[in-house]
Amino acid sequence: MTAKDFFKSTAFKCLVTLLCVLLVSGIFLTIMHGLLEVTDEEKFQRFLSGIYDKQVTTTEQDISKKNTNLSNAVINNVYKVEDDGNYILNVSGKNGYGGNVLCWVVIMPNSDGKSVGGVGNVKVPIADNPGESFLNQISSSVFDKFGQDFKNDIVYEYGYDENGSNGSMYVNTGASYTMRGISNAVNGAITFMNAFLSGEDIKEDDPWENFAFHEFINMEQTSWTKADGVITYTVTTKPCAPADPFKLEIKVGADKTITDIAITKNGSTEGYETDMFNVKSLVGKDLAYFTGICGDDMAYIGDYSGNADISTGATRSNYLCMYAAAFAIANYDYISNLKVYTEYINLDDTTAQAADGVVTYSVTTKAFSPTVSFKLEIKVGADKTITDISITKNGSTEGYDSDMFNVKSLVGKDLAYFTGICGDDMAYIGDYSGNADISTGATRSNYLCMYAAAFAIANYDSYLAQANGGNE
Amino acid sequence: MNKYKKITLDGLIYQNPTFMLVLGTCPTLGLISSAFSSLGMGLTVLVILTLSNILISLLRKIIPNEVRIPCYIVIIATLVTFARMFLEKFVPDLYESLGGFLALIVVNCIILGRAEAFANKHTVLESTVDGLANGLGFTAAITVMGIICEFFGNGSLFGFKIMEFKMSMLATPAGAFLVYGICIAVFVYIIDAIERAKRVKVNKLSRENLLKEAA
Amino acid sequence: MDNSIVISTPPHVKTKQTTKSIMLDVVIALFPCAICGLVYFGWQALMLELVAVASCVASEFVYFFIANKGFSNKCRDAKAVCLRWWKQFDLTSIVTGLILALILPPATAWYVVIIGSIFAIAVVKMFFGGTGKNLVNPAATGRVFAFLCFAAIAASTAYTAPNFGTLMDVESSFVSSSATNLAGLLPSKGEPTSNLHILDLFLGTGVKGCIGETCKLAIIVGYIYLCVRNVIKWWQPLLFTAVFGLTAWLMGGFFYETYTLDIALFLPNILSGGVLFAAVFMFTDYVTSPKGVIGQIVYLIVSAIVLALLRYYTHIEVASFVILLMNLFIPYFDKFLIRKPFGFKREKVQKEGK
Repeated sequence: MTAKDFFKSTAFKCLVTLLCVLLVSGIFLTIMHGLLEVTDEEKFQRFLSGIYDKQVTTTEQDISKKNTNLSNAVINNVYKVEDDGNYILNVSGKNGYGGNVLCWVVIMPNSDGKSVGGVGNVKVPIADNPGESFLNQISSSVFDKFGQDFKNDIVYEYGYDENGSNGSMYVNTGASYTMRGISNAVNGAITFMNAFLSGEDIKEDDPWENFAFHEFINMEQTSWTKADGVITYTVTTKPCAPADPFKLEIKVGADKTITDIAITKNGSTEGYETDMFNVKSLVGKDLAYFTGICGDDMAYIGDYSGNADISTGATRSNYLCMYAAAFAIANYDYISNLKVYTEYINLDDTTAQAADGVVTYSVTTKAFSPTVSFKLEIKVGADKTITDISITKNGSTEGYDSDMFNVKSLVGKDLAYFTGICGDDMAYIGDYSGNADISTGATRSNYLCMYAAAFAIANYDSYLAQANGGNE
Repeated sequence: MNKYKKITLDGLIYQNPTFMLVLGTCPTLGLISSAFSSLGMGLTVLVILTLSNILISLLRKIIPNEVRIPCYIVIIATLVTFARMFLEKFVPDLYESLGGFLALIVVNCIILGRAEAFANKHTVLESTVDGLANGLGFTAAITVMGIICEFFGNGSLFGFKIMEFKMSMLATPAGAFLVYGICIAVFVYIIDAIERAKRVKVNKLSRENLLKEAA
Repeated sequence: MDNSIVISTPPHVKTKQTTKSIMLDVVIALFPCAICGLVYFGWQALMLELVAVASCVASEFVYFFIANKGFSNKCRDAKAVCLRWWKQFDLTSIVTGLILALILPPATAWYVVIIGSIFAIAVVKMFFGGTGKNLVNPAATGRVFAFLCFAAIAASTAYTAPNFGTLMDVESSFVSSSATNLAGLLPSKGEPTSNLHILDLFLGTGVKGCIGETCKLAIIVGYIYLCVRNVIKWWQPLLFTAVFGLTAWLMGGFFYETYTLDIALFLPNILSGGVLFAAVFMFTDYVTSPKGVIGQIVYLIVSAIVLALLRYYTHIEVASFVILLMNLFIPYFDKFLIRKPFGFKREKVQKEGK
């Protein structure tokens, strides 16, 4: 086929036509895109006009210094409406049906402007949430209920759990998972705005906030045991680049000094280990010694030239060891009083008195839906067994209290008995069919009583110590 | 003029794309839980169908037979994209409620079907009438079903709450399928009844004529 | 005229059984269940039964009336259409209505029953051509439709979902052990314990459930009557319940973490929920069963296994869903499990005979 033939052939004609059609379409669409594009600004204005009839002015708030990635939502933008003082947040709620759900949430601050006073409109633009395919099943009346459901300052109960009960209004919207994402967004917005308005950062994300000096400590890999007033720590530090994490065994005695310290894993950069100080030299030192070197906040100041002990050439390694030691001492009190098995215990309403080696508790449990909270009187003897137990307030669902086991049967039991049933973490495992004592038909009620008993035994030492400390 | 009447009647009733040809089922089933979005979808399809019929009928002599399908798809896709932009800019409420179904108009069989079956064989004017008639037929059908589904499935009409009673299954695509089938049955039944009545009348007339002639 | 030779096209009807007589037998067989419903659940249950039957018959009549042009001409025609309807009326709609009422929970609202009946008769049966031409079991489909339409609003208005068959309540899903699918039907608390009374389940005393499904004794009485009257084959319900019970028992053993094969699960599984009722009255429906013995055996076994599996995983009484699902496969059973033609003999047997 010659070139001339080709240009005359149908194939060429087809090619040219197709290309022409494509070209014209492309040009047309490009022009139209330029004319009709909807900017983010316009989307925002649309949302505003859905709430306010008149034109309002908004200012974007600076949230760059705040923690915007919450456990349930990501805060994208925060605007303040100058006309009425409300805030408008662009939030991505986590755990929707197809990932995050992008929502617009109006937050109304209290009159003092320091905390959240209510939730206004919630809008979920379908166009921005292609993953939430059932979004249009949620009627607008559901969104209005967010405002009514706002209670107790921050908590708005979503109520959709794996079992599908409680808060049926959200389950029956037709898009449960999307609804979960939306309520996460609203909750996240409330949490964030509370922190934003009060000027503090969000603290919920730090489960270790009660520990002193844990900035350089890897808390997840840190454990401790208590015995006879001595706390033995296994501390893993965080890295202080270029030094890698250290692992140390530290013993702190009752006088709050280091009684023993040893490095089990040295994180020094290669060649620097030999430059380190001898950690054994820290034995006998108290907290004041360390804060004297590094300052009250134990921050890494870099220049330790004034102190020959630490400035040995491997400053960072030395610092990490000293930090771990300071951590161990500073948390001595806190850890020795730390209660265990507190998940279902209302600590505010729980008291304990110690007398003659017997700790008498008045324990209030938390509610375990549908069971409401129990109140129990528990006595724990010196051999760490239950010597007496009685229910002062029964929280069983009506009709179930007669199905409960006899709590008196727990008398004489020790901690091992309870952990043998529920596991070492005393978590609710649901199926207790292997154990006739608890599986009597009112399992949750039985569980709460057993949990309270386990709490009483496990914290015998710390309450006793507390009481004695108070006496001194 | 009779020609246009026939095209119109075909598009609206005798070859109604939804009830008689069962085309464009996907958006139908997906959207008829809400009368508003059904109506919006119908009107959008009406506009796109008419425009695509006009364009394709204009280009019918230019586009070679071998590449006609790709060309039609490109033209339709361009129109749909334009419609999307237009709706997003000027009717955001409708754009929201149509969601992903708007983009699916590209592969809506009605539009491609009319292009292939009608527009590439007829003049621009005929194609325009055909597009309008078919679009209206589609709009009417989908809106009627939308009203039924929304009324029974959600207790509301065009978003206004009417009653508490609702049969929630009819608001789902599965329930829409049932309503769709029942609507087709009723529609065909009514058309049949009318046709039969007509035939009886014609037969009667012709018999009378024959008798007259015989007399 | 000599009448000794009668010429007619097949089928040559020999039996005296007609559709009407068979349906009458089924209605009689359903009476014990209906009466038990009245005894156990009170007047409301009876009211539901009456409403269901009335609305089924009414919707059949209305459909027939419209389809036969009762409206198109004068009063005389309407009367003729009514007469024609009465002539062809074969009690099937009464059976459908009665079964539908019996597989609904007693707390069902009356309008739910009416909607279910209309759907069962008009859409499922009449649309496809009336008696004998429906694809799926009308009563089961009517129940499924009602269930899907009104389950979502259960919490706020009509009735609580747990009453719909044996939906579990949340509490029991935690505590019940291997007998998970039995939970929710047990008296008030919903926590099956070791003292699961088989007799209670059998008699339906104090058990949650649907109107006609609770008293298994009544179902068995109906079963015996149907067998005696030669309406159903005696082995059909037995095969179904046996396979179901075995599957449920194996599921309890293999899928539960303790890996115990507890034979004690066999009876409670069968006696709970609507299994027996479905086995006797619904899986034996003529219209929606495959033709031929082999087809029916396969159909019943597969249905039983599917029902046991679905029940185990959903914790809902899914008998009517399974009926609906399996009915849709019947054309395939008919196609692939070919019946032996009437009078067919194998070649080999013939040779031996010679």
